[in-house]
Amino acid sequence: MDEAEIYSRLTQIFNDVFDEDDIHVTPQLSAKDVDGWDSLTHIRLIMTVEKAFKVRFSTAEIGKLENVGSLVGLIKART
Amino acid sequence: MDSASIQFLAFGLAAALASNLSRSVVWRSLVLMVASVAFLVLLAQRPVVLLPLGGFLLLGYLGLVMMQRGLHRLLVSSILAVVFAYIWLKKYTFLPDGIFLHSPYFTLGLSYIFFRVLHLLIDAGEGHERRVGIGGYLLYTLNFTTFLSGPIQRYDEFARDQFAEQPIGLGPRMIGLQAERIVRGFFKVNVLGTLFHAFQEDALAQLFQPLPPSQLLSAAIRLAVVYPLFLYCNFSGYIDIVIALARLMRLNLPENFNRPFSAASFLDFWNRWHMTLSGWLKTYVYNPLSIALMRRISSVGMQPLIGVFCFFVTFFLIGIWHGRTSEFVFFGILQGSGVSINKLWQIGLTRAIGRKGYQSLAKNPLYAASSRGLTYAWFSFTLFWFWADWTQIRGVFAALTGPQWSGVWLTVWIGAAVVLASWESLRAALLSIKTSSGPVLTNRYSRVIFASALGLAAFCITGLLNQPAPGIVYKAF
Amino acid sequence: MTSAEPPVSKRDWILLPALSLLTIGVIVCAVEISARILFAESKTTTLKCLVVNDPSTGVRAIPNTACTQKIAESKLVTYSINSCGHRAGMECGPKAPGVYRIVMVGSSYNYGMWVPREQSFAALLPEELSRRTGRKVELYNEAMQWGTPHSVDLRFDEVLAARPDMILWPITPMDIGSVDEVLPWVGPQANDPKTSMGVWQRVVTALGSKSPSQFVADVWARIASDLNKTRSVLLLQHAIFQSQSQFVTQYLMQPEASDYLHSEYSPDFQEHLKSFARYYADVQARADSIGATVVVALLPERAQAAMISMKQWPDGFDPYKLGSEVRSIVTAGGGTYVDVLGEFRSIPNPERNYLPVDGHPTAEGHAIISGLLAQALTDGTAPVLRAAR
Repeated sequence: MDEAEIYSRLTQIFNDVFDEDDIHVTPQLSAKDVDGWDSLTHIRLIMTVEKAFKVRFSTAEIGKLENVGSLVGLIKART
Repeated sequence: MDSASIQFLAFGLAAALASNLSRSVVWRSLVLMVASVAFLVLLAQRPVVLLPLGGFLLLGYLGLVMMQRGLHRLLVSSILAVVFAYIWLKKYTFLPDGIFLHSPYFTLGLSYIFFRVLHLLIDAGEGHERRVGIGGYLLYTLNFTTFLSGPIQRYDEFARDQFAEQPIGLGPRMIGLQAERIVRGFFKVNVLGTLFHAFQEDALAQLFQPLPPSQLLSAAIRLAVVYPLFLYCNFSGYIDIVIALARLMRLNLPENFNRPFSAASFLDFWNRWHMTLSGWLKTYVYNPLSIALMRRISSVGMQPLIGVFCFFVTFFLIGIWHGRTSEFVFFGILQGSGVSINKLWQIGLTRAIGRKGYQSLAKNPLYAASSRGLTYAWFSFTLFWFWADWTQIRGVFAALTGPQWSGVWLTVWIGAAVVLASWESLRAALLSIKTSSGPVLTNRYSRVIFASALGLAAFCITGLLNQPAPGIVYKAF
Repeated sequence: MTSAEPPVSKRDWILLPALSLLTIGVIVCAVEISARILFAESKTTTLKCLVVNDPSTGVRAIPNTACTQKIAESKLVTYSINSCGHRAGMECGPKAPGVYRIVMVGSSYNYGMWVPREQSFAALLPEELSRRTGRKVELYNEAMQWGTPHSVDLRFDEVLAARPDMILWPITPMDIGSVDEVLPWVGPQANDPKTSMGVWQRVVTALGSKSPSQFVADVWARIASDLNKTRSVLLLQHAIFQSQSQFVTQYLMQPEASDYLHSEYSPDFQEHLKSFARYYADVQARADSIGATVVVALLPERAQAAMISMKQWPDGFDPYKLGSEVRSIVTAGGGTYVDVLGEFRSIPNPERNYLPVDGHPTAEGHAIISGLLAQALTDGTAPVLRAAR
């Protein structure tokens, strides 16, 4: 799966999880840039991403995610 | 040596100097190992008392080796073994007294080694590719800069710096910055911490004196207000010193504090106070617990409550990690409750006025100030179970009536709200005074002036007046 | 992984250290100047009214003199000495008929050091006793600066000459600590070998006789000792010692100063107690010869008072122990001991009634001591002084 497709699917996931329709998903996007991105929604986001991309992330990997770029890196490594 | 003393500083600086005699990985690792073992021996004084700690490290390493060899099915039992060994060595009081070792042994640093060992074990058990040999394991777990009170660093970050063929740069500017940080840390522990500790002890003594109600109320307010400040200066000051010493050894340690009293909620507070602890538990407790529960309970409506429950569990564990007695169980209940109630409040308010409405309210200065004050007051309240035992707590609360204590906490809340809001405004105003190169107060000339003043004060209080400073509180955990 | 940092300019290599030194210099000067204003001291001292070099009497005052002195923490106080060489507030001579005369002996607490005489417990106590007993009680104060037990014993004939009904001897821990001393150290003497040696000579002598680490420690101790005499350090101490807990903690770290507070005394302090017992025995015997009652009380020093008030102290310490020891000595010698230590349990922050650095009681402290002694003397302990019914 190429990056463009990943970003496209992630945009949809973000808009669903955060109940928005205008989130612009970039590699630098992180929790401080999105209203309502707290620990709880972070978990919902991870679970939705895992389901959508049919992957499983380890505890350490989830804990080390700093921004969307590192999430995309993980997805690429798994798919 | 187990405090932010001149001896510890001298030791750390000597280690940093030796470490920089060569850039080779082998040399730097050798110096760190020798310094860490020497530190341990100086603290323990008798090698035999280190045997239980050695056993714990061996247990952790055996578990790690098994995981690295693919025996992942043993992960849970390995974790349980390490957790039980920790609880047993720390003598948690819910275990029967008869099973403990009764000869004296060394447990300083064990609480932090516990996290490092578990982190390696869990990551390896989940298939992490990382391979940690015995040398790396010992360097990581016994690193003298993080031994006593953290910060709790991840292995990858440690290895990235320690085993880098080209170590991170260390020029005059960086050395100057670390010297400044050491001075600041030393001042926080040995001057501010000493003064705040004195205020707290005096207020506590006055609560048991035959004084008129107005003076008792004043003593109670001082007692409540001062301890968080003392703990912050005592802990963050020591962390400043170790981060600076580590940086002089070309190791980047993670920050542990980010202006915690600016937090406008108890949840945010724990993102700013002892950040590496809350970060570790978030990674290894909150996240997996939330995911596990959300996988089992698919109802979307239940998810916020699952989050609240997981917050309670996580911060309850943070609380009981701090100590082995029932006071710390209650401390954990208070931490968990504070965070859970905070989250429920956020959820409820969001449902009532909508997400945008809540975000707008959160930005309102009065609401933010009030939340900040309430966070401070709540943290201060929970800390009574941190520094006192049940007998002292009963005595302290019996010194005033219920309505009087309500008045005290209301005063602390409002007072903290006003003072902290004023401080935020003052800080913003001072930082807005800028030149082309940035705020005046953070330019190098201002910082040299400030550090010189702090250093002089620390010299006078510690060196000349020989005022005893209280020990580093967090080394006891 | 290396990261390049911008170089430090040549200007900064000079400017930054200079700025640091300038900052330290400005702060030191500003604090010292402020401290000298806030904690001014008088040029005059009490030494001009004292004879401090007669070992046959110990320190004694020159009759018909008056001196003023202000130390850093006190106000300017006048010390008026009567024709018999006492700060008694009255002339010496026979007592009037019907008057109950107490002669007080002892050292600087009793002398009323650093407080006006009218505010000292020497002046307040007789008024309080007169009120409580309904009798005319006068207190003739023969206490003296540096009035150690040895010097009290040396000058006891003066006490007997006053024909007292009671000899009141409030003792302090410092009195026990310097029990045998007769003359104080008031400055370097011309024949002191150290003063005749140059600095370099002293360094060479010290290096020859000490290990390097001991030499460094001694040099630092000397520097710190000199710095600790500055008014800035006094200002800092005055501020820090306002804290009960910090003062007590720091005080207990000084083994010599806090010897009397330990549960187990050092051999030196035990010897001091034995010396005190000898001097007391002599004083008692001579008092018995004129039929006067000797009453002793232990007045706590600042740290001791604070510890008693706090009702808790570290293991290995006991602020009551010295009182018990003195009581044993006095009662074994046939005298009367009155206990005031226990009363400090109910006095909140009693250390505030002492000068924080100097340690002598303030006027408020003297008033408290007067009240406590009056209570102790009239509750039946001293048979001749009962409260009027």
